[in-house]
Amino acid sequence: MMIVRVILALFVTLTIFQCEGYSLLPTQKIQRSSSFIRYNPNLKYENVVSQSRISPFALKMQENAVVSKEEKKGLTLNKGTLSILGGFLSHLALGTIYCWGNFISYSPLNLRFFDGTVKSGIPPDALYVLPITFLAQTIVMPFAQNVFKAIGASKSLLLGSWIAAASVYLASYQTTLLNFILTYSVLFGVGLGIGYAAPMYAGWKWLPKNKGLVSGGVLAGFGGGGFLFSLIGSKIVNPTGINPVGGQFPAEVYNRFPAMLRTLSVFYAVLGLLGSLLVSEPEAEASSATSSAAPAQTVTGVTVKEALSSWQFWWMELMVILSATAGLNTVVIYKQFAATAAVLAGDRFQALVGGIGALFNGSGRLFWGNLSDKIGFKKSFTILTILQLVLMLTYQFSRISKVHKPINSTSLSNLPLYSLLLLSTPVSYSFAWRVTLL
Amino acid sequence: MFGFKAGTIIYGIIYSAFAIASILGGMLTKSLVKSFGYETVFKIMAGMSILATAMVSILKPLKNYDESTV
Repeated sequence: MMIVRVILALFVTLTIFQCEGYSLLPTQKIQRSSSFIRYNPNLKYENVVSQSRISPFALKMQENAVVSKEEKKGLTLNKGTLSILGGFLSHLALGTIYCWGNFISYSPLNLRFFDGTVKSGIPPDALYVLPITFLAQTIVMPFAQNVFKAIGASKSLLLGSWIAAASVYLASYQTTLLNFILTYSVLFGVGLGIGYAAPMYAGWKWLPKNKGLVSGGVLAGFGGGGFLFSLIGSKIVNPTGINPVGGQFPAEVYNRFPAMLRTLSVFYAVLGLLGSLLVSEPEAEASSATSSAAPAQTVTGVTVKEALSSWQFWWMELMVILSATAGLNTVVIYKQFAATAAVLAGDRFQALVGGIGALFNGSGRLFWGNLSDKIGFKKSFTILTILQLVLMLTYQFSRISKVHKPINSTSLSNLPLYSLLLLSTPVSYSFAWRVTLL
Repeated sequence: MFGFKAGTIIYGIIYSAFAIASILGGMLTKSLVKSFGYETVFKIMAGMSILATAMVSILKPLKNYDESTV
């Protein structure tokens, strides 16, 4: 119950945060045309999307977004709210991408290295599970908007969510790391790439004046899912909270790993189904309005070729690589690092740390994006990287904490340091997205 | 910085940096932890962070796009 309350509290907090005017998305001015409201993409954006990965697609699609007369009848708010709720639910499942940092310790030994052998003292090849998920998502994302246009946001969300759920289910039967990565990483990344933006795409159509509310509500699910399912997964695979000895759990924990994945995949599939049922679009009105509305004006910006030929593009690419490595790597290795210190022992404690990190991951996207909107990209990025610098230099001190924490407890003695560190993970997404569109 | 005209595609390309960063972090950890420990890995990532700080300080808007800002 406590976990559910935390998730709901986060959802409500972020929603209020957005409603109070801290818009995270472009506050586009709108141009009314007969009975329709049509976006004018040529008008200047007052704010710029602070959230990272998906929004770009959705933004482009907004150019043709239309809101119907139903807004006047009060239906828009209801359907828009339901779309947000649907996005929140489905993102609870999609956000479990970050659970791998916790789950990696429960994976059977034959899934640790590509050659299936057991090597002590060496970071496992399974570290690449998360990076390959990102890679797959990166490849699929540019095609996601075509899927939206072809089958709509609701079905896209269902497709993406179920591909992700199926990937986890299929992964539970794999006995080699290569096959595990092909399912758990590649397939999940494909599902994530397709489903991530779909609910926001639909929500923005219903609530064009509250894009921040839409994205905030949906992203609360993304962060909350990592938190929730990290703890649920640990409870399933290690119900008594057995601690590893010499970095290894008893066989009974590893034996429950496939069952944990299958159970979680069912949760993911149900959440995806519920979420997609709640997401809807004013499609009929959109199609008729598209034909009757005034032609959109030209959007400003440079071409891809011009961008690629500028030094700023490659400079930014390198900046993102340098700044994002710390957070992305720490998410995956934090449990192995914790295994090197007695004071950080306790599987439940570590799972909780990873879960809280996931919460910060979701909320951090909103926080840093807003800060960037207020004080500018350069200043906020500088604060971020300096904070990350300090955290990285002091991270090692968490294992010589003077605070006594009994083994297997859920003491919060080291949580602030961990959580702050993990907070840095998503910020580069926000910055990269924002500065790209400015 | 690049505007909305091709922002989606440009962002999609820049997003590859996260995949690269994630893979780079894994390689870094695998190659250094056994010989030098986690402390060294964290110090290197700290160095990368400060390098990013230095780089952003000299980032400038595009010359051929008047509305470009950073």
